[in-house]
Amino acid sequence: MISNLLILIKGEWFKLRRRWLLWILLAVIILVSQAFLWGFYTVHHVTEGEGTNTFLSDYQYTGDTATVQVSCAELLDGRLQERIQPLSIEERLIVEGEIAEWGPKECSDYAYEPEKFFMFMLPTSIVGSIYLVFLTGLPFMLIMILSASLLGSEYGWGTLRVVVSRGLGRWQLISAKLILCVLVAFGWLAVMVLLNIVSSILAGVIPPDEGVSLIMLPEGDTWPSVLSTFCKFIGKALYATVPYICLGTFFVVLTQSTAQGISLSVVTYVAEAMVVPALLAISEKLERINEGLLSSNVREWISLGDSKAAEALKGAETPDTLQAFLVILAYSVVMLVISIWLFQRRDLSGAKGE
Amino acid sequence: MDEFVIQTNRLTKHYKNVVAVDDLSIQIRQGRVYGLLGPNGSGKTTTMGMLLGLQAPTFGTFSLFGYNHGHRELLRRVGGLVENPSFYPYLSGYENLRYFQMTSGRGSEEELESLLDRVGLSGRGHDLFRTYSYGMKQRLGIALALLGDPDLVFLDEPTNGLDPEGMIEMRELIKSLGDGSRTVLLSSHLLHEVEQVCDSVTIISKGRLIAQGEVSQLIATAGSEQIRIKTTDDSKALRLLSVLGWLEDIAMNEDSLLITAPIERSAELTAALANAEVYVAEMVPVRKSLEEYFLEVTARENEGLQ
Repeated sequence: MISNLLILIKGEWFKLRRRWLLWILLAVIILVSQAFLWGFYTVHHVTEGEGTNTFLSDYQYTGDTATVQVSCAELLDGRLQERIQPLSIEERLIVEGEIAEWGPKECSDYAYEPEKFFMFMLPTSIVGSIYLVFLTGLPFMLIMILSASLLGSEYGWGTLRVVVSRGLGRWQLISAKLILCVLVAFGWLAVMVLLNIVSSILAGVIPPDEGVSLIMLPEGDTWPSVLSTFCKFIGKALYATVPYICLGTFFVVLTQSTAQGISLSVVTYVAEAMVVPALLAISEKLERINEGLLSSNVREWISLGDSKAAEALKGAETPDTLQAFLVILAYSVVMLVISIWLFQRRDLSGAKGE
Repeated sequence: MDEFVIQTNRLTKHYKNVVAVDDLSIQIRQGRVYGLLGPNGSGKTTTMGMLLGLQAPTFGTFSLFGYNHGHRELLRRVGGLVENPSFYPYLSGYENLRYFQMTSGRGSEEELESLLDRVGLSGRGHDLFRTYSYGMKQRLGIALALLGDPDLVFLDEPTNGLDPEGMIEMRELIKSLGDGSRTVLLSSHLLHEVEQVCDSVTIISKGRLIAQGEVSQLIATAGSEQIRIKTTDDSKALRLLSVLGWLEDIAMNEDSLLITAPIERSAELTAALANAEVYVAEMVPVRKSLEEYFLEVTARENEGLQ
């Protein structure tokens, strides 16, 4: 059974490597990842010594005795108490409460000067920009498109009938496609990592940084901890792609069409990641539902919890890591089981010509 | 092993309110070329689809090689071209075959070139499938059906899109496939093609079985045989033969007589004419074609249903 599955995966790769789609999606993800890396390089040289918070204003509170203003930099530096010192005890409590809500919303995209620098400095640059790419959700969207296309095209061309009529098992076929998608995601990560290394070396040798050390560990970090973070992130990122691969496959099996499968997957992703959380934010009671959504759990799962910003923002309403792991697993299993069940029992019609 | 390679028992397929296949029970023996005949929408492709595991029967059962359906492994002994030839458009013909050879584990890589050659695609085997004409796609479909030397081959309208020369080649190929122990189930609406290629036929209409048997037997049972004769004096011959009680019918055409009578009594005919000094110049048995038989039985079936 395992050997059959391996042969099917090999067969799927035999076909997929010849499709433009795979390479176009790879190019998109590389471009975005490189844009982040070189973007930070540019910002570092343009705004040296400053934080980068392009959109947001500082927090301001006017009390009975004084007015205080807190910036993201001060909040993340742990200088909140120092800033609110002039206020009364009651007012400080109010400010702390308000900041607990304001901080996570307003300062989550804040980058420190050292963080900008380490985005293109080895070894942190290896996953730095990739992490940011994952935070945008782009890789999930692309892998969903790939998984939907991998199966959906077969409905369109009518090749599923040929494959199944030759005695290949349906669940094995769908499993081979899903496993290949995970392997492709791993391949994309590997390519991004390699290009990040190359770009970091380039950033170190081209002016104005030529001659500066190419490798620099952040203060307090050690090689084992950096490597461990790197490996953990790759593993976590791969695991986080699984429910989206299953989602794409699920909608294709449901609609038996690439176009409809991709459309429904993307609409679901956007609704689940953006629209629903915004609606849930209306009420505090509803906000708890957010903890069960796939996107918020995926964000928690892939977060590099030891970053300065993440540390400072602790206490925000996000699911914990174990819960995130279980929710991702549950989504994946449910969608996979339904997809295989539907795929097994449905009749296979001829080419749909998509 | 059971002598029937395919056996269906009350096989039925419903699509919502449409009955595509209705209570179909057929038996197909090993080592022959079988024709599956029927008008468009008669359920030929659906029947093949069920046998190939593409559609689940609503009711009834079937067996392949004597084993009940559900044995996916049995499909590894089957090759098929059902409906349109469907392949990956961005791969070449050779690569398409290579993919199916690799994943099904049937046949060998070395066999692929000779297979392409056998179906007349050797010169275009490495071109992308999307550049093929319909006839070439059909040929590739047949190559795939033959990959791995299967024991049972399903061919659904295999000569669609082929030029006349290609059709003749394909008929010869299909005939040769039925030699030996391999069984071919050929679905076609080209009745003369089936008559030329198949040993036996099953005729279905509106999903129901209406006739099954050897082609020659079916035609023979379809009605009386006829003999066309030309004589030295057709008018005199007409008068002489009209009095023979065992002749069913006799009619004068422009330049010949058409006699409805058993062919084995043709010697008696010539003797009767020769005794009256009327000599036979030409004598040809007129057989009903499968096409005529088919039209007759399907019309009868339609009348019965109305």
